[in-house]
Amino acid sequence: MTSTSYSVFGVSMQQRRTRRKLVVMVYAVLLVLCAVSIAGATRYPLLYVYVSYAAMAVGMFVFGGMGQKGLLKGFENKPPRTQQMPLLEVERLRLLPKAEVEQDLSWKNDERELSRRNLAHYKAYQVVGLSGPILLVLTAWALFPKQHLLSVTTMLVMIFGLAEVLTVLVMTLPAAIILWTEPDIDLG
Amino acid sequence: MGNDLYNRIAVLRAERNLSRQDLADALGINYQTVGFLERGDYNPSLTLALDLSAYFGLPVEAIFSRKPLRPLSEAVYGDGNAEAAVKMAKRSVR
Repeated sequence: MTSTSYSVFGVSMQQRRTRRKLVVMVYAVLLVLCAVSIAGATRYPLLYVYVSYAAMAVGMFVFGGMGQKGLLKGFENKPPRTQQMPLLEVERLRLLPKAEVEQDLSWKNDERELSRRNLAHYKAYQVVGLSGPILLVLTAWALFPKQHLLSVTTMLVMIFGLAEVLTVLVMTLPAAIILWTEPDIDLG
Repeated sequence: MGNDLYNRIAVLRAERNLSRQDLADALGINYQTVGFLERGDYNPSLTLALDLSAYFGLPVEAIFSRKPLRPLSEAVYGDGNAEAAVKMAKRSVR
């Protein structure tokens, strides 16, 4: 699960309690950003871009899972590109021995880590999947504005807000679930 | 039948004076996974179980069991009776 350096901004994340604090703090910040973006949706509609960037940065550099940095190893389970990596063409032609690519396996998720990753994605799907029916109801209401008291603009802002939260969750929730559930790590 | 799987990985590793990292490197897994295996918190795939079996040079059933495993010394010397093994050991000392 873990990358080689298991800390964020110099703070060790070996303890599950510390990791849970980090997850809560990160989601608090993202929630505030989402709230600001939703509140200013009609005047500053492009604020959502920055929220998406923030969620992406969390996934890439704090939680991990996206790319090779952050607390968790890359979910894709692909070797990182280094200078030692052979050129793609050469690798495709199998002109170099495979062992040269696979010497350092620290990037690789083993079978338990892959099972944890898959379980986390399943759990995240349970949450994110709920947004489908909610979006359906909201859009159905927005299509028939005379049947309720809310204006179409309000309905659109609600749909926009839900889509924004959904975007943040899609980028961060599986990694957050792993960080939340994995027990304390003994690096000794 | 539950999903319980017992193993002797910790004992076998200690007998061979291996660290978790040594065993993990040999098997191509994370050293944390060795800890999970030893504590019974994770049941390995058949591939990993066979890799462990090959690494220790023992049959799979000597390492893993669906029933709680007896101490290795008792299994080897005790003939199924730990008290008898202790008595025999005491006699041999006298």
